[in-house]
Amino acid sequence: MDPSFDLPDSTDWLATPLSLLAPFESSLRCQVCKDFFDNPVITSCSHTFCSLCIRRCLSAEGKCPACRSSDQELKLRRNWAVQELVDAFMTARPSVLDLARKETVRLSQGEADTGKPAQKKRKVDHFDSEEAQVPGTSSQGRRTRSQGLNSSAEQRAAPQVMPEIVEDSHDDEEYVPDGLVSCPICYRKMKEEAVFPHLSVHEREEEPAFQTPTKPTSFGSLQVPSQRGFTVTNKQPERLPAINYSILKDMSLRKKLRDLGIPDWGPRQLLQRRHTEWMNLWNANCDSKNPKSKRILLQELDIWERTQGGHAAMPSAFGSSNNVMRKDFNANEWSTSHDDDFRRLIANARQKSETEVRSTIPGASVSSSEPAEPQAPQPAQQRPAQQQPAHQQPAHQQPAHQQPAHQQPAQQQSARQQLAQQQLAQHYAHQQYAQQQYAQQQPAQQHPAQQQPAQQQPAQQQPAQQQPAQQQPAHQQYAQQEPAHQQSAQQRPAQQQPAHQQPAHQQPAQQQPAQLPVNGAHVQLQPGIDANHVIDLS
Amino acid sequence: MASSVAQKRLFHEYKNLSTNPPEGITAGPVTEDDMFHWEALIQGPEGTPFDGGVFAAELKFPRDYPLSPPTMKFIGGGVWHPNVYPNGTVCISILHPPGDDPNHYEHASERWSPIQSVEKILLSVMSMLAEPNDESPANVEAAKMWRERRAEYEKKVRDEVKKGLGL
Repeated sequence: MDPSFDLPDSTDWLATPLSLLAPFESSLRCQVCKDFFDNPVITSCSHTFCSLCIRRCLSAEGKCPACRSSDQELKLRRNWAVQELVDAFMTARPSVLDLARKETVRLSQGEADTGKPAQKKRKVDHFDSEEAQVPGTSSQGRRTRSQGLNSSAEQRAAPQVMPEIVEDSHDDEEYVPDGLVSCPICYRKMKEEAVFPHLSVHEREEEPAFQTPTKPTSFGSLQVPSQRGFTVTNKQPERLPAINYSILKDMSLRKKLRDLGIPDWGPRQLLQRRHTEWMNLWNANCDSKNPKSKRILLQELDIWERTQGGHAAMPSAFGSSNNVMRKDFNANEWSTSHDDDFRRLIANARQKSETEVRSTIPGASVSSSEPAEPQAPQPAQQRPAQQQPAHQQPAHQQPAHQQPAHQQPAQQQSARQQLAQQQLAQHYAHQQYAQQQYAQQQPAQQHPAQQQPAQQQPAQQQPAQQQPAQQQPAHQQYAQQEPAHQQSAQQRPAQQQPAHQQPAHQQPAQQQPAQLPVNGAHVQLQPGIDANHVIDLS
Repeated sequence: MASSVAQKRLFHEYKNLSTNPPEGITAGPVTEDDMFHWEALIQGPEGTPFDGGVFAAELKFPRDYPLSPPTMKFIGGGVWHPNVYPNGTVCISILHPPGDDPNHYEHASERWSPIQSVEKILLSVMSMLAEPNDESPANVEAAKMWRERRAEYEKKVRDEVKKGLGL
């Protein structure tokens, strides 16, 4: 996905000795968008959200998302104090996080070394040993995912542990004062080289030195810089009033949109939604100290148009909740759109009787691979002899499916198949995980674990191969939703691998058994699955 | 790239869940190219007939998430439970938008709100497994069995769990 999706998050602190900053940071984030508060406003029930987030919620539902008391847009008030907190924290965050990460590295090196750092470490251990916490603390610096599972316990322990560590680093030749100096005007701590740029903030009352790439921090005067768009003058732009759509005829609503300078095409409902979104974007912008130009707002509306508005793909039948229970439920349409599912179920039922036979087709269905099974407690599941052919010979075994899927991206069937394979592979990862889990608990009964996959696999396969007519709409829909992604996914199947590894930077792969079945496994598994297709077809 | 609010928020949740997962729950997008389609694994809660089982489910998110809730469906074999449709779709109040109440029994406070999250959904589903709500069951047969023949219900669930694990 997009590189900007490597988002800073409150969990960044968890791996550092400053893990207590995680809840602090998450309280500076909006509960709706999970991002730092952007133009925070306070509701009449005293909950704070980003201006845009709460406006969207209120126009959708009219209630506060936190306590569900009714509220109105007009009653929202800006919350400057929170805005300043957020801005200050965002300015300090990179350097503090950097420092904390360095400390993490230092602590973990201290572990490995028995030299001088280890002595400091022992000092920390000493405090903790009083609470019988030594093993947990010795790896304090490197919180792994498996430890993360116990994080609630660890967080409870944290208040006792943290002060020692912080003190410890204080004792170390003034580490903190060395790295950070405070601004002579606002006393905010920052890196030395950041001070001069920061001072100019106070002088010019402009934007602060630090900006996140995703979102301009609006911290400065009410003066609007000169390059603002023509509609936004030096004064605060005027708020748009809400419209009672029911009293407007189509034509006058369309005219209204034209007058506002936003697109006026589409059916009535879309017009209303677009107007609401524009009103929310506009009015939220009015809450900003540093309003954006209308051009930028129009771009944001365009994003909305593509993701949720008129250019968005229609939501799948499954996506809208509880369709089946609606009164105007259209059974025919439902059965068409769920043809895949029904066929799968039928196939499943047919296959059930053959399950015993299938299960004798050997454990190629359990195509396990090393990284996917870090725990690997059962040698019985890892059948290298059977995997080997599966991994190495997909090409001769199935020139018909496997090759087109990767080499002829334009074919819809292959794209669909690839998706099916991914899902299938994912499914196997789950099965495997389930087997592991169960086998760990009941080691004596591991044996015929292959039944299930063998039985379900042909069922999943069927829609991919037998229903070209069904594939087409499905594929088109997918392509409309995310054309760029789809294309790249088709052309470079291997590309997904880096994407999956991305979260692994933060948590070394081997240490996180729980996550692997979801993230890593299917990439590894894919060749093995393909071989299974052949077995079943033959 | 035009990344919507929904994608960003889902990515935050994904990061949070993978860095700091609650016990017995794993969840993430099937591929990171499509943040709107997740898969989740839930362990059967201890001390219930579901104990020992691991249940796979898929979550599909609407484009206007988090304003609207996702849908959740167990995959790979049914889950015999009063609040799970025979096709695997989970019927639980946190997944219902507050606007419509198809079942006429849920308090608005239990239902979806934008401040809920995938984590909370999965935790609710875990506790749903432990404590079915038979007031407006999705699977009437299962609800009847749960109410009237508890032992049989538990045995059936245990059998399904074993079957689901391929034993």
